[in-house]
Amino acid sequence: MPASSLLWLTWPVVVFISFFAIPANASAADSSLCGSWASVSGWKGNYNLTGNGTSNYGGGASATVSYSSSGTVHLMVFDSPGCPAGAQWAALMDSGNANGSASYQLTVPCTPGGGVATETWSTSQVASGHADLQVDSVHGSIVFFPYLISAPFTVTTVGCNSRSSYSLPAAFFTLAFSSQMPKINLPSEPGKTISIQNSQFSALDGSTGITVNWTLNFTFTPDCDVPDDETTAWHGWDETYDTASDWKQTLISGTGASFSGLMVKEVDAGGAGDTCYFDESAVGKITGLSGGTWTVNDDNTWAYDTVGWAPAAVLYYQVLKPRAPCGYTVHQQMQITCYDGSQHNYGPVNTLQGIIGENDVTSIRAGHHASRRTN
Amino acid sequence: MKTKTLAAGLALAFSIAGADTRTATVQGGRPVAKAIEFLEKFYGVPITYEDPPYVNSMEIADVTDKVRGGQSVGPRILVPRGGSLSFAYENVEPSQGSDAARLAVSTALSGFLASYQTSAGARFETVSGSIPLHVVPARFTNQLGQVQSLQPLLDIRVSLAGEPRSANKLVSDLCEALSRASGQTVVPGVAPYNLLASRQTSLSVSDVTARSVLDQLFAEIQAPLSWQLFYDPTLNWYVLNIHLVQPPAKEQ
Repeated sequence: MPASSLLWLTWPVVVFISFFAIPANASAADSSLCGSWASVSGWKGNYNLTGNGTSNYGGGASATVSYSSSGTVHLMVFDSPGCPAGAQWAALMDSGNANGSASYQLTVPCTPGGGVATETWSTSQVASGHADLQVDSVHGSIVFFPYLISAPFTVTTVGCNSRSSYSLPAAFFTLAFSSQMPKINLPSEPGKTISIQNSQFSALDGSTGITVNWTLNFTFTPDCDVPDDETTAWHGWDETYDTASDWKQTLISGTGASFSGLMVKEVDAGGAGDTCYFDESAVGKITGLSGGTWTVNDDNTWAYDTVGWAPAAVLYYQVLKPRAPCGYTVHQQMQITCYDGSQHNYGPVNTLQGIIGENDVTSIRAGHHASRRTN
Repeated sequence: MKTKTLAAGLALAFSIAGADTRTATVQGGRPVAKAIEFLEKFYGVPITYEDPPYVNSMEIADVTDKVRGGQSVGPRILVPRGGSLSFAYENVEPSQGSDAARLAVSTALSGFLASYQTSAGARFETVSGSIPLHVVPARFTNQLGQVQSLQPLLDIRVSLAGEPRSANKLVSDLCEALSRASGQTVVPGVAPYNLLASRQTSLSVSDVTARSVLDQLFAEIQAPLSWQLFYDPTLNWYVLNIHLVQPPAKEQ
């Protein structure tokens, strides 16, 4: 068989697959676990993937193939968040954040006449690619799939009394299909760094027909979106202190991101004042925020931010300062804590006030008021 | 010597008495509480404070006009008369750790509590071996001007069922239990409400001091919380105020 004929049979065939592949079983994902994973808005990290394979075709014909790729990526939530689509993240790759090399050598005997023909190619110029991280919460597995392809390159054939060269549009630096990647056990909870070291597996290289032994490494650290703002809604008067109001908030994000499971906290923005207090008042002076932290619910709400005075403090000031409405004002900056521990301000500085009137109390949060009579 | 006013009624006079020893003077209706506030801020160590009952006219000031202006409605506003208190304290470097800070606080407290008494004779002491440090009244002056020893209010023993509740609710329930057990009115004042509301507890106590209940609760919460139990001479209430102790203040 002419060397050139053999080459065409085994030539690397570049197949441009759909950019993102959604797992077939993702629609059956468990909603609660998946929802928790969906709150991870992204992952930052890097990977490297190497593969080597050899095939002996018989009759003195053999081939070797070698692949290597690596990348530093920021995988972001792909498609609309929530279950099951939220448990999938993707990132683009190109020569700016990824490297790759691939080489192939085929040796074929010359018949008749003896000798051998060698056809070789190699490429290390990255053209484009992407990386997917897919969580299958039903089966408890993660698949990481880097897909990286080369720029056009040249194939050279030497031997059997001929010399020629061809150009081909691209070659893979990675496996061609996500289904060829190994499934890795899912960590018990999101928000932790996921890492694989020296994971080894074999897969048939569809381009060359050679079984390639691959080694995969990756480490990804989760991050999160930051809400644009939050809405405030009055929930009711507090069960323990019914002269203070409970306020319920809903986080808002233009990207529709989920913040489920993340922590939000209030930070004192300064400028607190307490007009009820007087020197030696038995009720202490309010000098700042109370330091609340809350976990965001699945529906992006958090609760309750309680604003107001304890009933005894209300009565104390109503008796001692009966004709002078007084109150406290504190300024609150909300922060969200991402999985990597970083804390980010979101929304404007809120003004919180607890006002004691002659016969009533008023609770104010971010421009929303609630009042009730006390006697 | 430099004098620095940190807050209304609190004037501090610093002088270097030794390599690491300084003195401060506080003024106010509750000078012991003021001194403790100063030490808490300086060392970042919780120190709790409990008022004696202020029932003798020698120890009470009428501040109605100052607080209420020209308004004549309502009772006369009475507060502790107080005075001034000077004390020495050691400068402790953060690198020396919290044990060194606690030791310095103990030294400072024992230094001034041994000699301090109010104008009418009330005295304070620390609860032996306690962590956090508790400063409690040891003697008070009754309405007849007689100095008497007393049982601090938070020494009263209470029982609370182990039902799940917020830390805030437990504080409220403790005040109710203490009111019933003591015959005094004990109420919650200010507190880091959201912090306490977000912490659930199933703390169950039987016949333990109210102070121990607060100690156990704060240990559960694992936050540097402290309290001031203030007596109000106008309403004859005890008000329990809870606050977070901030990390040590940096040298000014």
